[in-house]
Amino acid sequence: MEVGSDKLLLAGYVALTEHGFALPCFASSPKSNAWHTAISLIEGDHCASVRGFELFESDEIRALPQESHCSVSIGDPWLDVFLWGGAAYVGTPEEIWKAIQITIDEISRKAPLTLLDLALFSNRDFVGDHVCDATNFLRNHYGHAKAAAWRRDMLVRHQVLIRLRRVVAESQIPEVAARTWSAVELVDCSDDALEIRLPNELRQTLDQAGQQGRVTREIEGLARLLNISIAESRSESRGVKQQSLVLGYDADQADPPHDSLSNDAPLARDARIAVIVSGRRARAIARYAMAPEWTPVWLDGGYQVRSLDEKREKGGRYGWRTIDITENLSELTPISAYDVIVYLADDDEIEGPVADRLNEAQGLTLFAPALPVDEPSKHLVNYTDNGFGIHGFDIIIDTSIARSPFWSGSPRRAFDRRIADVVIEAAVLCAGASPVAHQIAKRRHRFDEPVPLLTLALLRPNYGLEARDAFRPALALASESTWAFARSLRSRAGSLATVDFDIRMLDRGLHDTVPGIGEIRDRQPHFEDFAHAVLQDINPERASPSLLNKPSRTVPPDVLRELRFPDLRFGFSLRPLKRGGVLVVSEAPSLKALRRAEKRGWLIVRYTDRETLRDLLLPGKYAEQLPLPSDILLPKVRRLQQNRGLVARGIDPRDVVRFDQKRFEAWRIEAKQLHLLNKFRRYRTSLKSDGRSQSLEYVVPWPDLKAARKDDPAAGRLLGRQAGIMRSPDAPKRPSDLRAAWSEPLGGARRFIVKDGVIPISIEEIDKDEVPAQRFFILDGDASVPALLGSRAFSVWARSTLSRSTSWMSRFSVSGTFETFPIPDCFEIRRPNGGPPQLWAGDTNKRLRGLLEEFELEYLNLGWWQKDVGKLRSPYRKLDNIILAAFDLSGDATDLDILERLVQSNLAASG
Amino acid sequence: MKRREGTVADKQLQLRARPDGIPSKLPLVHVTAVGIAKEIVKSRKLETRKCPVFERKLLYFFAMRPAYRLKEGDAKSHQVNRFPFVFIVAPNAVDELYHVYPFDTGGAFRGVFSEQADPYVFLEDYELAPDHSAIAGQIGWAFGNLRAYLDGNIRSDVLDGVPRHETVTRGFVDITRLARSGSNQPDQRASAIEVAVNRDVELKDNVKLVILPKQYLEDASVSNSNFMDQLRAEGIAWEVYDWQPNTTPNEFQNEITRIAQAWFETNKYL
Repeated sequence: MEVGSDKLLLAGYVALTEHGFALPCFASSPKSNAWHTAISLIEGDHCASVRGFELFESDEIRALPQESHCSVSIGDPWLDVFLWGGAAYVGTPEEIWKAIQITIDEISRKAPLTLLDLALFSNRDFVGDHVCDATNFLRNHYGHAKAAAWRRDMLVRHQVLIRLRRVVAESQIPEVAARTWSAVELVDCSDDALEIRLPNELRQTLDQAGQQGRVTREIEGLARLLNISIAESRSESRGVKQQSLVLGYDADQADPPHDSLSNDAPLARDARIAVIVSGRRARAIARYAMAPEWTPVWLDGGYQVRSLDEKREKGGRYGWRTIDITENLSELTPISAYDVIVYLADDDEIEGPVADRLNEAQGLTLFAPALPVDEPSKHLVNYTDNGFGIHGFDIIIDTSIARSPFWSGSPRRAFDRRIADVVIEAAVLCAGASPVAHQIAKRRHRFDEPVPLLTLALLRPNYGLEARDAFRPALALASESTWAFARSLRSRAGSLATVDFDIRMLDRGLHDTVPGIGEIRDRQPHFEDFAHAVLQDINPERASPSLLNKPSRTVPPDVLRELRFPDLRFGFSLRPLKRGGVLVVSEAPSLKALRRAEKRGWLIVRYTDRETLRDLLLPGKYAEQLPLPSDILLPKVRRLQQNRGLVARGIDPRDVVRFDQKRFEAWRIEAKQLHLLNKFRRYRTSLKSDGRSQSLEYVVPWPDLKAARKDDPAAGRLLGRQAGIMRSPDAPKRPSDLRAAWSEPLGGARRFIVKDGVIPISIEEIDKDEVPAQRFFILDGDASVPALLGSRAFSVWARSTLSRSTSWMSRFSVSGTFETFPIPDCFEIRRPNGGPPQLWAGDTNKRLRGLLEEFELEYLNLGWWQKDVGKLRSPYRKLDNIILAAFDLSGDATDLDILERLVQSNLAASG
Repeated sequence: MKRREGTVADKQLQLRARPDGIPSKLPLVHVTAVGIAKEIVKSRKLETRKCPVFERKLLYFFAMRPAYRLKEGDAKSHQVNRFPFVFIVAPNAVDELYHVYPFDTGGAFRGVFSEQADPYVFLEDYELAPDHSAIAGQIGWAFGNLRAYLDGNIRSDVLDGVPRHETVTRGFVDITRLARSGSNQPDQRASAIEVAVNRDVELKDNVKLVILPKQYLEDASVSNSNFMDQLRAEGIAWEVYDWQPNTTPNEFQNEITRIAQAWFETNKYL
């Protein structure tokens, strides 16, 4: 029964199940007893508008939180209530899709039909991956016939009906009878094709309205969305020519195993995989173990990862096979059920022959070293005392490929994630009737023989496009633990077997394959070969083979004694240098090694330090003085108590609500609460010196907005609309940074922000009503802040303590960069009125104060951000010298001198 | 529709019964809301409940028709309209019938058919004989064949030879026109043959098919696998329909009817 109201409040819902779409329920006001449901203009179409409301009676209506209430009028877009993880998301399907991004993998795994429902109406061009998920889910749980019936009757037929109804609605064709819609059929015309059969009555109606072409276009759009093909079929029935549309989908049966493998392929024990984790590094890496979004062509489905210790699934949207991860071997019962067992362990965790613990295993046993951050794995480069620990394993996985500049995976993947990828990739590629496993099994070594090494690479389409070397694919297998150039005679001698294979990406068409290569190698590093390839990759002209052919000068033995892996080195000479040379190594060099080498005229650089190597290879760049490398193994420096709280990071975007100027101004006019208005700040996302124009945005903390809604209806509306788009966090993610950003500097201090990871330091002053994004750090104080942070001493410290990432820009951190820096005595940390600490010039050093005044007059007050701080000479150079003098260093101290002194000062200050 | 109070009913429709080749026993359909259905599956039986019309514990079915829609006259849309769950029961699951009516007595009692119903004919007058053959006889006479019955299309010549004074028969035909498939808002209950029994029906071996929302196939926050396992344990086949919040009760009914008819065809009832 339709009712007269044309505007109601979406204020409740009835859940069908505890997940997915619920029935939205409407009321005239939040406290109304009468409930209604909305009627969609088009049956089942979440993109349609609301046609009307009807009364609804149910004891099961649940109220939405008031901030989620939305006013809906007839003619407005349909709004959904979507349940997941105990939360109710309100909005259009597109808004909900954005709001649930973080849980999509989980929904895909547990409720793929529901996710597909949402995806179909979320303004997406392609949902073929979700169709694939849902079909696989049904087939795995209920069999092929049910999956096929669902796809025909539930998915495709309903989508065809919605599109036909849209055409009818938009063409103003008179209402079509319900039985006509029921008579629309999709009929299997072969194993992989469906014919759309329209009842004559509907066909004629569409013809008369001139809409057949439109229908065809709509169905073509649907075919693209679902990743199915479309064709026209012509037939003749009782003398009448008929034309119908045929939708086809690829056969989704697994490809048969390769013929070449079928004769002697190892028996697949359901291709189950276990990963046993041992040690701190191994645990850190295992956290990132994810099911791959591909499957080898010899397996008929993907994997999901299960943590047996946490009793939960960790993800894997495509699979039904399992990768079980545990720290406890006894969880794997029976261990003989696993096709592949990987032992992921720290170097120091192995004391006895660990393979003995796996003596009941019947599948392949793989050892995966949890690669240390600062040096190679001893097991990979044969540096263990007796090499006994890993005997008994079938193979050792070269996890150090994750550190290689020739890494063939996503370049934006973080280091530990890369290692986890390597481990899981190797395990999956060894499961089932695998050619890789076949090769390993063929070469099963005797117990007293060294365990060989397995290196694998997936050659994704964009890999190697930028490469200058035709041997790039082979380079994808290169690492610090093996070698680089497959063409060399030596490497061929160390290669025990090569294998080519294909994988199929699960998120694309079923026949979209990617090639992969693998090699079983002797465990014998040829670091010179690898390091030379790295140099050639950085600068092919300057690092030509002739460089290698010139014998590098003999490295002094006392320098080698300071290295942990002295055999893994490659020395070459630099022409402008009178003596010594550059020693490329596999480890992060210690300060002691650097100092020893410097005395002998040598510079030690880790091969991962591409920035330093690139500069070294530029002609004449370091004619006078060798640089300080970036990748250094520092002694364990401590956080200094006096620096605590001096620096805060910019705000976490999840803790605030952002508004553009237009929305903010519109709201401000109706806002009644001055208190809330005072909480709004301008949002700084860039420095003026970046030269980028920034559109004006305002932010307000979620907690303040939520608190204000009780007294201010305008705030409630603002929050309600926002809550429809994104879910408000239960508690701020970083409350202390939020507080720091919203606080006002006390005692006449000024506020400065420092850009993360940029050297020379980029620093600027901000206004009191501004709060910075999280790519900045906040410090309060006087002109001492830019003076000290812009100094050479701080630059050296910041560069050496930078947290380096394979995936993203290097970063400073509050605890690692700022709280460890020993602030010299000429500055002081003040806490006006017991508030947060600030950096000020000390009273005693009159010269410093004088220079700061000069500095301020010349730069700070005159748009100094328009100048390049790094190039400032006077008075910056003078300030620099005062700061160095405070550390008992002269103005001509080297960067290594500075770093050593700062480390000493840190250790002294931390007691 | 009024009830008789102590007077003898004039059961004219019983005399019109004409099976005309309709199978003597037909599958029965019970529709309820999904929340209740879960309890039914848990208890492993369809249970009788107190009927406010006949004031005794009864269990209701419709012969072959998943009819449940409540519309004008009911004033409001209810849970079952929005979240239907269908049980299809084998013909021989119930031998002794309490009563058989040619339409939904609950709707009739609440006045859903008032506009069409003859105000001078009482509810009890429409009662058919309380056995399976009466179902076949009513379908044969009123609809001619099963497919027409399922579509709600009464024979066009059904009133030929029916005298003016046979008001019960004519009253029934007037009501039944509400359910014709040509109508844009057909009320399937107006011609769905209602069967009531006064005993519980075990699910095992009796319920042959359930039709449920597709969301029950997924294991999300609440595990549905136990529920699906229970169905499997009772030997019950299932089909799903596409539950969407913006699908109207009419549309659900059309969809469920389509699925049920496909099952009847597969199992040679049609």
